[in-house]
Amino acid sequence: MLSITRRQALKAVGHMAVYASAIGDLTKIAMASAPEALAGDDLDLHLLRRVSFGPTAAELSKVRELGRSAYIDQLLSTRDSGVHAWAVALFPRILEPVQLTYLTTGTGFLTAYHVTDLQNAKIYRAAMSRAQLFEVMVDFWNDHFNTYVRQALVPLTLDFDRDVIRANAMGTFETLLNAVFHSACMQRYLDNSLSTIGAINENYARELMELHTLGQGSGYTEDDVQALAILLSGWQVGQSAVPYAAVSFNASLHDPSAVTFLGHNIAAGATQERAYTALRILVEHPATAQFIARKLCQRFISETPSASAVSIGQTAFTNSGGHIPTVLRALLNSEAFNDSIGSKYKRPIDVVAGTMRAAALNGFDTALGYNPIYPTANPAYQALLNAGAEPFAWVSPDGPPDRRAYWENTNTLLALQQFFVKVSESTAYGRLLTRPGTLLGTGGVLDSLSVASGVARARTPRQAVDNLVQNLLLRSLPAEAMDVLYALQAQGAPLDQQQDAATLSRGAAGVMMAVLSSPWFMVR
Amino acid sequence: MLSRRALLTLSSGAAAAGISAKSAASQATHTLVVVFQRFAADWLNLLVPAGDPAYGPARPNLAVNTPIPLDSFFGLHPQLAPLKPAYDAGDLAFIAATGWISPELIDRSHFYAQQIMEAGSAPASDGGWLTRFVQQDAAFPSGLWSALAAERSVPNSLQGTSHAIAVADFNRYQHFSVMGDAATNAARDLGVLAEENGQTLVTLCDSLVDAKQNGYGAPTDATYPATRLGGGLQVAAQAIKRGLAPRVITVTSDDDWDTHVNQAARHERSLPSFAQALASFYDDLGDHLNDVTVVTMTEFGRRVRESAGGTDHGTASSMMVMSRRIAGAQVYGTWPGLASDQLWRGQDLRPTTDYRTVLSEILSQHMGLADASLEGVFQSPLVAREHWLSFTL
Repeated sequence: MLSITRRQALKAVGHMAVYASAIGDLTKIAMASAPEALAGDDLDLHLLRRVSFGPTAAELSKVRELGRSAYIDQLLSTRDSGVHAWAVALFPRILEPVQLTYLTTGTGFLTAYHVTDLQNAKIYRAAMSRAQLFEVMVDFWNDHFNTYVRQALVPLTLDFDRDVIRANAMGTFETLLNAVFHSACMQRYLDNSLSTIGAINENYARELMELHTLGQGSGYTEDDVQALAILLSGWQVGQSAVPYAAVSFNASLHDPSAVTFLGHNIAAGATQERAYTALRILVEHPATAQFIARKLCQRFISETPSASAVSIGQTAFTNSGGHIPTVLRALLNSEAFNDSIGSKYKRPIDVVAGTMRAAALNGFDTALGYNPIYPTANPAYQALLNAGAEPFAWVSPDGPPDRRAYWENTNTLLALQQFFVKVSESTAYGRLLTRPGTLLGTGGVLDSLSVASGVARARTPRQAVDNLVQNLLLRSLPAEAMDVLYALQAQGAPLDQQQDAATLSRGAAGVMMAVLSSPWFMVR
Repeated sequence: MLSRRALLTLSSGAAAAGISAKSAASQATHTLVVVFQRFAADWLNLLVPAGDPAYGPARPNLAVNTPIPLDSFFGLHPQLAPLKPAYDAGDLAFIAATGWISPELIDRSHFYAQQIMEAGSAPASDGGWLTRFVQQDAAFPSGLWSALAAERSVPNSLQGTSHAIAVADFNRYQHFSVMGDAATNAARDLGVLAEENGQTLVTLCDSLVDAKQNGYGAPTDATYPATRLGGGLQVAAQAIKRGLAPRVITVTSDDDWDTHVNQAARHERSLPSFAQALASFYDDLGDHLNDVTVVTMTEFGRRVRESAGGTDHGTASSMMVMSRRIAGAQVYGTWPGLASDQLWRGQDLRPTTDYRTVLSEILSQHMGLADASLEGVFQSPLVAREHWLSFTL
């Protein structure tokens, strides 16, 4: 094994065909170049990178005006009925109850558009909603209580997303957990609706403790798994037309044995109260407060949060009865949060929605890029699919990871590069470049700040790059990085010489791809 | 004429005596392909212990009653028929009742078990067992594609290598920018400027240039099922056949293994594509299989007794090895039995061979790793030669 580091190798060999020499380094590389160097030291931008799917100029000026703490308070209660109405207009099946889907799709054929409506609505809301923290939490809970949209022929996830997750994303954890338990989607996904006396199925019991509440390694045993499976048995999901997918308790299918669960003796009996007792024990268990606090810390602060950061969340969770906004407020105002600048890496949904936000594509532009006949042709959907992050399609119950080591790989990065190219070279975007005033109508204040208008205003290669970098990142890059981009944009022409719009926008497409691929954009 | 199988049986004796048929030179260019069957495949219904009297009674509805006979005891699930030609040719072997020894060190959580299986140590350490192999491998080649994740991301077993590359599909391996290579080069330069934070971008840009120049997206000689395993094995075959010199390749099989319910029907659907993906790879590789070893693993097996039309999480499973360098057409290992008093904790198949013992024999005999390095990879005394099953040639 060579002792040369990757950094030395890169410096020594220069531009092309470096890989042949850079192979000696097989050691795990410490993050010697601190992430803060990429993230800068702007705490307002830091806040926006974490509480939204990506900063925009408009939101940044709002944080500057209100201050971070007041901005957090405002964002915690922000909801966006306008974007909701747009989402429903574009993707109407997201409002459809599963009973209607069952009756109208021939019990499960022709449900592909239901799935794509749900997926595209998620992308649309992530990019467009003013209620960014709400959408971030909807995303968080959908991952935490992961289900799989193609698990049943008639997809149950539309109701789950709408009536369970979105309805409870900013309430208390107990209400949310109970709603999840009563959902046909989770009952089916983790096979609990098939767990009956004499044929007990442990799947939901195990994941309920391991993934939803206590956390793996928190001290429960295999006996607890089997006891919980008994307590949760006898719940059924309706299979006939009316009411389809209704969740109900059938005492005759419940295993009534007396059990000891997490040290509690639970008397024999065939009642649904036994499941509620188990859920209450789990909600009130200190391991749950700690587990949920840690997971929120991992989402908002760091993959490896300090014990003190977790304990801030845990205390807020316990004192507020698991009130989610209270926990978020405590974490986002903590010192640990401010200290964590630059320590996270964007997941594909952060990259895709963040690109749309950074490029100031507005609702109208997005509608132009969306084809209702071929909904999967949506470039944003395609990017997530190829990056391994198709919405609502993570098969296993752990949900997609929020870990840099998972998402920072060449396959995912290439899928995202293909998306950057689509965005910067698409028809809709091309029209914006040539006529920014006419199609950015609903963008309001964003008109003068958007990437498209920034490039359209530029007359020289230098101006085009300066405008693009400022619009996409809301800050500057190191001089050496700017020189790389100038050279790409100008292609040998003098930097300050006027160029025609077509030449400028062609170069700008490449610059946009390079900037968005770079670690300066990927840092969260 | 002496059959290939008879020859292999003879030479397996030679291998057992420690006389490896494989030269040091070919060990240095051998490729290891690791297939991970994620979410616990029920190997009791794949490699069926038909001769065990307790098998049928434990699975009144799920037992595979007419398996394809492999030997006097084991049979193959009928939907795995595409694997039979490779088995008959002596290029495929099974190792029954594999898992963690001692089994109390893992639990029945998919995620925890996958983590420590991929780490190769319990509790999970930093980096995976393949990472440590790559670090200790004197013959590790100096190429872009040496550590190839033929899947959407780099799995835990390979994490910590600074230049592992993930390729899910060679056929669209370009970004399509109107600025072409100029954009690639600029992105690469930004990656270099970002130092350690930019290394994935640099690797990607280098590989884009390399793939474009050398046409890696060209079609292969077999048709693969449109599954993650099929796609991954196709990428693996493209890399091997086009001379990219991959040393280790990881592939994910997500062929619906977590069969808590409705297992029989789900196996009817998923087993044919699982088997066909491997059979296509076998056909596609041809003589390249002299220099390739495929090994499968899964995080644990499933419960011996069926429940609710399926099987809950269990303990031991089985492994499969495909290569020309094995004494194939055999089932290796020690069968612990399925009678109640033979089960682990009264419920599960007991592991009798540690999966690291199997991998160690491959790392040593096929990949040429020095014995002294084996414990460095797995941190277990079970890697020693005395535990090997001598399935390698």
